[in-house]
Amino acid sequence: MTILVPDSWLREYVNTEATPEQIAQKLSLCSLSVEHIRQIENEPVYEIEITPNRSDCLSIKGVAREVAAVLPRFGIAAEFVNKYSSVALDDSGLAELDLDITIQKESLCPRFTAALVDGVVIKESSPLIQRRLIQVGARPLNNIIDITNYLMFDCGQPMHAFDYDKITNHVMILRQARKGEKIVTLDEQARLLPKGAIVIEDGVGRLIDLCGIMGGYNSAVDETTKRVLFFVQVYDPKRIRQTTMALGHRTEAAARFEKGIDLEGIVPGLAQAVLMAKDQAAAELAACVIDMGKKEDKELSVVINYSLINRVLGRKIASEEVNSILSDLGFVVRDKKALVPSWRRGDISISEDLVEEVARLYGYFNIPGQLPLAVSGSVQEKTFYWEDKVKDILVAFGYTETYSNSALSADLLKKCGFAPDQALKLKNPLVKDNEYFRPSLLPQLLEATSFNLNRYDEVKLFEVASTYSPYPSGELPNQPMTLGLVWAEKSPDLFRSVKGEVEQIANSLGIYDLVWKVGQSCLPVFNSSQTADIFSKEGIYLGSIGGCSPAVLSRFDIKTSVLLGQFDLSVLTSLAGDRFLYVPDSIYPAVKQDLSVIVDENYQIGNFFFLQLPEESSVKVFIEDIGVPYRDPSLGEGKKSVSLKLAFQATDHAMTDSEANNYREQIISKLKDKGATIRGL
Amino acid sequence: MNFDYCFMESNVPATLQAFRDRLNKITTSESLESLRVDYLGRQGEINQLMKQLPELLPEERSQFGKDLNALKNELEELLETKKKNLLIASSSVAFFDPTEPAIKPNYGHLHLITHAIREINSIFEKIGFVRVRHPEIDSDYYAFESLNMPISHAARDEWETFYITLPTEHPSTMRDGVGDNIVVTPHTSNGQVREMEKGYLPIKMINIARCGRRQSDVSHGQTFHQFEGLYVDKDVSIAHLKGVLEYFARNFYGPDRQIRLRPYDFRFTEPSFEVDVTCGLCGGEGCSFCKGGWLELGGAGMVHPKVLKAGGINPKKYSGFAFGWGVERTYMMKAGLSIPDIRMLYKADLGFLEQF
Repeated sequence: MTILVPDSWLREYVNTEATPEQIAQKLSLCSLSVEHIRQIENEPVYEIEITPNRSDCLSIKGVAREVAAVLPRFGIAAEFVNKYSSVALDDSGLAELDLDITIQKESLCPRFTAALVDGVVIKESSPLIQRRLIQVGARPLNNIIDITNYLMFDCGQPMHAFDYDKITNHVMILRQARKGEKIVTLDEQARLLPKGAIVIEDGVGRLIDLCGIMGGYNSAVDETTKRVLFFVQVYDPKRIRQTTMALGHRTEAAARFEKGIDLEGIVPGLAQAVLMAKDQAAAELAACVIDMGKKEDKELSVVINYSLINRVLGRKIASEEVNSILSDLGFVVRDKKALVPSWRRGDISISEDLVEEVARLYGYFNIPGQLPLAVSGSVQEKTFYWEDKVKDILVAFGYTETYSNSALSADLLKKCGFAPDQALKLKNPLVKDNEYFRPSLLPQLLEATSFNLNRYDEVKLFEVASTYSPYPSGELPNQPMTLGLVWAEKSPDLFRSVKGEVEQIANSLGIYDLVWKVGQSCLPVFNSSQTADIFSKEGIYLGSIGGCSPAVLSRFDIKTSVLLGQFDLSVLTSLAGDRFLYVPDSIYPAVKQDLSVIVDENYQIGNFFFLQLPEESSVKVFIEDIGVPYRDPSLGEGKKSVSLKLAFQATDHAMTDSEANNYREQIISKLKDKGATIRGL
Repeated sequence: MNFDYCFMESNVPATLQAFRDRLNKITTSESLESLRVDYLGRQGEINQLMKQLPELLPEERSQFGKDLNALKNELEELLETKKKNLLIASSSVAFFDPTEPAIKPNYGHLHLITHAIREINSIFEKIGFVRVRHPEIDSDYYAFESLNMPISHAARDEWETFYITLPTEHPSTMRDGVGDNIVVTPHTSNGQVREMEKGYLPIKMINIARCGRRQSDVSHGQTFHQFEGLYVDKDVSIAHLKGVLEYFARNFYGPDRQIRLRPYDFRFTEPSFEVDVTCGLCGGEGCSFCKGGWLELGGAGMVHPKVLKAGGINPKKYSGFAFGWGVERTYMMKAGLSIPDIRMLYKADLGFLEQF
């Protein structure tokens, strides 16, 4: 969180000639980040970010301690002034405070202090107090409430003021809230309390305080208040945190309580409140001060590991300098140990913690950078290389890459034929539109296609990202790296083009002889009758390409042809390898011939590539290409014709026509065995 | 040539002369063609003269035939020469316009994030960092617990984490009694202990991956990418961290750029730093774009001994540093790129994508 620190208030705690700019710069380098110097009420006010480990700096006093430790490192004199160290309350001769206190469980409130003042005159605070409260972002209310707020900002100790006469029978039962209990807090909000919130009940069972967060409205100080009970406690930080989270309401007090309180600041804080009440409200201490519970934390010493400090900084720091830095920060150094000051017990517990204290004051800017030359003990996986290659080829084919949110809506899933209950679901989505983690990249690619077709006649997009499916076997969801692509264009036959792209990509990855089958298990977004499943020659499923389901297209209002593809890229890249083979080229020309073949309509013509061709050493016979099928009634019912481009080549002589014809006859006889007829024969 | 035929007067020479006259006036290949047809075509002058052959004396016919053939050859030669000249003339006269629109090759575009990831990776690769990948959806053991962030700790709220709904029959991901939630990793740091568990040293990894957080505004998307550097070895120091980050800043942002470390607080590093780079606009002088000449890059720190222990590495023998920054944010801070809303990167608008 950030806090505001007025310059003049800060200087009550630290004597220095440093300018505000110097303070901001040096503090940022060695301690707390000063985000800005603002001008509020005609004065520089530091806006400072306080990290969760430095709750001791959520006060002017805490910041001042750091300023006083840091500035001298830059040769600027600075001295910390402990303003309230000599403040003490004299309650000798006063009656005991009439307050019947029951603390149901000690851990709820390890320390309980209270002081009663009488003769209170409620009015506005002095202009200085009002001005300072405005500077730190608080609203002045009246002299008593302002005292509690002022001291919270001043020394970090949150406190509360009750109207003593509104505590029925002067009974306080501090306990955990029960389920369903409600309290109206000072801000006149009725709040339903979560179980376990710390509350105080008075003599007739009314809840009068939501401890550590905000006081009850029914016991609040108002303009008629005469007797005020100042209340300074330590509460169980975890409960305060859980309650503020459950209520969704974090107050300045709660933010401090949930980080833990400096036990040694409590009595001075309470005493200062009483003194200020005298000054601001003409009130006098009216009874003995109550102080119950844990007075101080166990002493905590941490070993100063000098060699560790040298190791982490990468240079040698004299032990005297280490000790002097720690002393400046309030540690008491003796026998290579550092006694942790009361305000730092929340964040200093091991030797590594001391390293940070020394290193930051020594100055990170004083440590010159040095490149480590060590070589990793592992080798680079080639997955990333292959992924890059796939992307580069797709770009060369005219596809543009997209990145989409990992999450999508139930609506979009349904639009593409996916059942949302099969998808990975978020427990706490930010918005309903992003409730599911995507099982496929195609829904968002289709959405993008539909959007871009408004401006473009042709759209070619791809995305490479994980897709997610719930728990097929292991502990974690299945999340393979996936490739999705879409090509939308007026041309109705995109299949062969994309097939060519896919084959080229596979070949570039060293994967040859893909097997193409009519789609079986394809995603619902495909038109299943026009989709191919693609396998490696070993039979491993790689992905599918095919037309988009007409129902899906109409839901997206897409009128062009669309071809979709989705691949398990993690499988493709795992099969990839640099398989460059050198085959010497024959210096003798090949004889090339065409052969027209008539086959049944449902014959898969790609099988011609797998025809057993005549094999002889020093002679290559192969089918170079297969033409586009030709259909005509003259071929006969349910027949189609394709032309095969045959090539015959010898490695040791020029192939003669009669040799070639001999091989051609062998091929024709093989084709006839398969039930094909040869045109023109 | 001697066309000395008493009865036809000077028909042949006249024909040649008339042909030359017309030829000289011709400027286009079309009129040249019509001239050819007029003389050499089926109904052309040559054929018309040929028809006179039977009218000649038998002893004159042979000479006339030869002369006519010579005439025809001459005309053809003249036509051919003229044709060549016309061609040369036309190519030197036609206007060449280099501002004509190009025929665009069908070439797509890589996404800006891919450009960023490749550049970042290549910089770290040069100084020996090996790219790795770890699950994007992981147990909270790896995302938090093993990183010194127990569930009760306030630091965990700040990560604004997405949790996954677990099916009823789900194998436990618990380690030492903690970590039974599955989360969308809010940072790439889940890879730290996972990489340590592989059991090799030194570790010098760069982990670049998708992350997710429950936040969405002009500078935060629910989906974003981080790159995480982790170096674990004997005697790793803050000096090493500075060396690596300085190398990155100079290569990524420019040779004049400097970095500085400021104290910060993360649970999984001790000490922790906020890393700043000098502002590219003002060169470190201070301007409205930066804070006193510096821009915040992201967090870094020395690996917390508890994290090393969680990864099975003895913190007394080994130490390390780690940093994890947003890919999009780091790239947007390059001078010249002013994208008003980081979420534009995740909208597949070709008008945007085709600019990169």
